[in-house]
Amino acid sequence: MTFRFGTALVTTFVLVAVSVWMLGNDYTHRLDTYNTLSENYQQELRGIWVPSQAVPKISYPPSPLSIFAQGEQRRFGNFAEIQRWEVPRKVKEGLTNNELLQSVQPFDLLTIFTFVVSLFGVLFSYDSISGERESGTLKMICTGNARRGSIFAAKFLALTTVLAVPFLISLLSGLIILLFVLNIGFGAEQWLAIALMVLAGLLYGAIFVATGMLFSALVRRSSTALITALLFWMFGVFLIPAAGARFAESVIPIDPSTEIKKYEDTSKEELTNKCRDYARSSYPGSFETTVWGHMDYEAGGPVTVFYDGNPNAFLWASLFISHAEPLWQRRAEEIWNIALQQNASKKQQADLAAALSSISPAFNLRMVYTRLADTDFIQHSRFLDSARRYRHTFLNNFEAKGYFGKNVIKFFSRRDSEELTDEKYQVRKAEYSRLWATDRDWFDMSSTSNWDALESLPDDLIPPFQFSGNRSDYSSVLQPLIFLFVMVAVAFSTGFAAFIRYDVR
Amino acid sequence: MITIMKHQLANGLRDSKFLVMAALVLLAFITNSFIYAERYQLALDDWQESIATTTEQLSARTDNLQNISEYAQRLVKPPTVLAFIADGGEDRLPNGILINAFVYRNPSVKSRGNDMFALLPNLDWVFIVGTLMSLMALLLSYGTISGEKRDGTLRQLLSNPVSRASLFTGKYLGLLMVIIVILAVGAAVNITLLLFLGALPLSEQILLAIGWSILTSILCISVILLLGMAVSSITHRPAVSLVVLMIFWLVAIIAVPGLAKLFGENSVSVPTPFEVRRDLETSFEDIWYNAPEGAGSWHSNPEYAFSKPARLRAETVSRIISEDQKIRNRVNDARIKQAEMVRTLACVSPAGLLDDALQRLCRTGIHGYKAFFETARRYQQQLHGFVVARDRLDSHSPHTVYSWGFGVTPNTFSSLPVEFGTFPRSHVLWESGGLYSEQEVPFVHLIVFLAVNLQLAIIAFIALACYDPR
Repeated sequence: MTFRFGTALVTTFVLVAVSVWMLGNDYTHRLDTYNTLSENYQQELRGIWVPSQAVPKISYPPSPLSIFAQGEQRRFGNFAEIQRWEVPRKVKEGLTNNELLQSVQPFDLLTIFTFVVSLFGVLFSYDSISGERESGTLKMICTGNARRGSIFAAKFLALTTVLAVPFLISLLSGLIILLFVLNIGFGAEQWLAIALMVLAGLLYGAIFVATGMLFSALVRRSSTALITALLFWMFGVFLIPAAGARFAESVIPIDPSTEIKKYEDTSKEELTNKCRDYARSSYPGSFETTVWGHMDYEAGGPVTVFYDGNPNAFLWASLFISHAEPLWQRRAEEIWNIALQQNASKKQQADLAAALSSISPAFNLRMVYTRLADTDFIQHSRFLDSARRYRHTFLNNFEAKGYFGKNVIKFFSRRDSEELTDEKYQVRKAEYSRLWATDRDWFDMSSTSNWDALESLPDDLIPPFQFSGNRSDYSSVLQPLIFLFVMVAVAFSTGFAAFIRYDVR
Repeated sequence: MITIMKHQLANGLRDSKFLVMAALVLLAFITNSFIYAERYQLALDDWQESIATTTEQLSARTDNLQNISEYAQRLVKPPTVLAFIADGGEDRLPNGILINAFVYRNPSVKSRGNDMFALLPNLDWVFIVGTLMSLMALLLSYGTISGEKRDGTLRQLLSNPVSRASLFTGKYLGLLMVIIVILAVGAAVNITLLLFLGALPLSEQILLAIGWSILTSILCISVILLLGMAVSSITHRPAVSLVVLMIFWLVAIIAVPGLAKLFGENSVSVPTPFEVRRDLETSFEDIWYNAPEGAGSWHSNPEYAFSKPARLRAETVSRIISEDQKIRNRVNDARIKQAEMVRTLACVSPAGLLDDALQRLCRTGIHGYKAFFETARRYQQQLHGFVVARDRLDSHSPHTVYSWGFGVTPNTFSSLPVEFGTFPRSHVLWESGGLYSEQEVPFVHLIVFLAVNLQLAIIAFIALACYDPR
């Protein structure tokens, strides 16, 4: 037992220390990247020419407790783009820039506890009853004054405590590394979360101790108890979550996302033609003037009007935008509805898999840890919901302040007027300057010097974004914690009953 | 030695514990067949649908070379038959790529995989052999020597005129036979079911790949067996050998992949989307605003296309698009390089080495992704060559074959109709060669496995040879 305990202590300590060190540094790096990116995006926003070029990027910083439970945060990322013509349905920029590495299991505290603590729980307890029977000491203990029940309970408590020691020591050393070596601080909320993680971890370890003891009390030989306990371990830790997921995938079909692409392509073509027809029929003569504008606008950009002498060109461009803009936004909502339906089946799969996997201790531990670390799917989907709500705020603000009308870039350049005589060019330029002088909302690209002298971004263009992530929501942690507790109780009471009737000879 | 081997084999096969584990492995193989048969069918349907859509769209554009060359085809990766051996995260890897005669975009994910299940193990051979059967091998071998030392039976065996070498070899071969029996039965059931469900089109290459996979799997499990025997020879109590072996096994399964990912990400950096956007913009501005005079102009009348400014514009835009493509290629190459580095680092553990070897054999995972991407690039070049050649045949064309990526400027090159049958198609490229055209046998991996096997055998044998039974 000393050897086992020593090995457990050393192994857990080394693994946790390495994991915390590497992931702690990784967290610091991610936080720096996040701050740099946020700054870069602010700069990008300041570089726009007209309001419709504004594509705000909203984000939230990485969670400090992701050092302990990476969850999905690193895979899915934390920046969302707010486009006028697209409802955000996935996060475009992740902390992991490489989608090819999505399937790799992270080496975090959660993984270490899931596999190592449970395995040592089994290794400590598989011969607690049958081993003592084989060596003859069980007979002696049972003929003493103590009742069988108390013997069993005492063994269980002792083994759980022995298992708890490496668990707690390694966690403590991990915290020391974080606080004092890497200088990563935690707030009060995070300390509470860590306390709950400790509780969940202890319950989790206790399940395997109790189960090991149960199998030890059901069979005569330790080697049989070991194999059975290891099989249980395999099922509880690896196989049930995987089987649950595969079963859910085969039972609930997912439509491939070709539906969305098809709708995107056909609706884009329809709407583009519709807009062009509208421009041609409503503003005769202006279509050629705004020919570039239409191609940009179809991509969500501003309308670029090339002034060729038609004084109404800019006015018509504005009217065109106010007609076309709502149509494109409605298309965005349609695409979102299709995506929602597709996501609904993915969510159903995930719910079914979760229901089936709820008998796996490892699954429940994962639910507790990722919720407490705020790195699970709930957090990800809450962020997307916030992003969608923010988009509505942004668009309403846009409309209320009349920014849709300011979506036109005026363009006047010599490059494309090679056939103009010098005189004609000067006349046209004068007209253009006069028009521009009366309406300072337009941006003049007629000379390169103007490209640096940008109109400054209106302060009220981008409303502020707040996302708290509901970090203090612990209600979703309650259920898996209860499940873990129930599993301990069931394993313990079954083992207890088995031991009462155990033949100690 | 033969007697010892037979004895070990018989013990193994009669042991109820072994039978339970073997049943579990068999169940895993059977489940594998059903899962992958369904996945293959869905992937096949998706692929055929994408070909049908592209055919429909292309044939509607045959009236005009410009029109058909500009159309952005969505190439979808053909279904991977051998994913049941080494999944490599296939259903979450990007499998669609937008291509026309001028540019291609990096692959995007359009498959049916549910990202919420990304971190769960797939029930492929890599998992069954690398995790389940390796655990089984550990449990079979941890007590072979140390158990006999504790029971005293080793002393009895050694007192007979049997050399330690033949004792060792007999035990090893006996255990190996047990494993081979289970693997053979499991694989046979797996393959038969897949054939029956119509998810395994047989060909010489596929049979070869399966054969090499079985050999690699045997070598991998042999490593675990010999590791078990080595630890068993060195220690004197089975409980101790078990604990040591389980730790090795755990570290190999949980620590190595995660650490490989962290080290891999640190050693090869991938540009962020922000950096890519910035590079694209800078590159565009550099070329466009330093372009020769007249390159920026454009007129819709057809005669303009023959003028000098039009040619300058063609050259400028071609340069912009080619630089753009280079930047995008760099990002994708960096991603692939990073993923490959992670894969290589994960080869420190036997399961990781097995995974990489089988992924290479079966053309799944990163290797399949790379192969798909390379074939797509070749197809794109083929398309471009076709358009240029066709344009040359048209004497009325200004011969400035270029585009702004996915949009072609009117009148810049030939707009004659194209016969649909002559237009190159991507699925022809797949069918003629396909993913298995160049069978990549992972000789390096096999040699490493053999070397490790040999080393462990030597250690185990020396420990046994030095054992003093008194």
